[in-house]
Amino acid sequence: MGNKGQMEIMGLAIIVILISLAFLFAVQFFLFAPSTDMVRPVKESAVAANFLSSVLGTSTDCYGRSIKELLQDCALSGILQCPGGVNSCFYSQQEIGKMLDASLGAWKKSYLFSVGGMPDDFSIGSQCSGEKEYKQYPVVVRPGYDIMVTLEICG
Amino acid sequence: MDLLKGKIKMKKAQIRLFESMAVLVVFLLLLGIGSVVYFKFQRASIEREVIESENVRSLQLFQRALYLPEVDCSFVSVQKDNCFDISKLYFFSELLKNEEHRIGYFDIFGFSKIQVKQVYPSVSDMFVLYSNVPDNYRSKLASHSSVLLFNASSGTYGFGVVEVDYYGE
Repeated sequence: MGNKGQMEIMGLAIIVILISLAFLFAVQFFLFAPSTDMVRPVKESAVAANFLSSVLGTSTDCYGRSIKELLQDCALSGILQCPGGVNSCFYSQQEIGKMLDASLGAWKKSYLFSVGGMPDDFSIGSQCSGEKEYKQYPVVVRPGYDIMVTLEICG
Repeated sequence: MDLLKGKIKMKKAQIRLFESMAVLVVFLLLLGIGSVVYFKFQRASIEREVIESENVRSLQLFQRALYLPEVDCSFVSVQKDNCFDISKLYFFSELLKNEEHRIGYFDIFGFSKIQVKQVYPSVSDMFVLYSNVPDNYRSKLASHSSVLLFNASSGTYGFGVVEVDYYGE
């Protein structure tokens, strides 16, 4: 009879242990499941695309040329002399930097803006180490010759 | 002797009864704990879904604000992407100062605040396009983007920023 009682108590203890284990798994699964944010990457992607299209279309004080036109001149020869006695390459880099500071910088976002494919390539910002949203915009300099404007916004 | 046997049987029955009651109590305790934990999970899950839904609505509002046909730059029916016409912005914001017109746009913008500001080549004041901020709100989601600002009088494009604040109730 003593053994029977002991067997029953052991059975009860096993049930309690099994239920506790099930609760632990449920807690692990539901409470600590990684949340997937699907909205932030879409927004960041739109911000990157909008920045590139805005900055390239912006008019400057360098003969009223847009940033895109200044980059095209920089890619070809850089002979245009802008206010301050600087060439189009330096001037465009300077003005893009101002716009980056006033937008992404003011929103406390880390970024890397770069222009490649021309003799005087340049970049502004720092490389992203983790997640990032990445947009590229080709600028046609002349048929068969494109330069690439790239923006990375770090997540 | 029979009396003794009867007493022993009674004791056994009592013990069995207490055993059954103990099992029942433990079972009900476990059931109660399980229910509390389950409802806590459900509440956390619902709160996560509410936040996700607010994020999606904030994104929808953000996209609508950036592609408003009332203020876009259009030339001979050709629309320029990601561009606001400054003169249209001014007149549209004046229109929305009238409560009747603002109510008409509530379906599109809801409880939100949309502001535009030129930052290059010159910095302008923050220009409020639409403002409908509730007295009490649970959350505020801010979105920013850049935009071209077309000045029709000079024919030039400035660089501006758009700030869209969504208020969740």
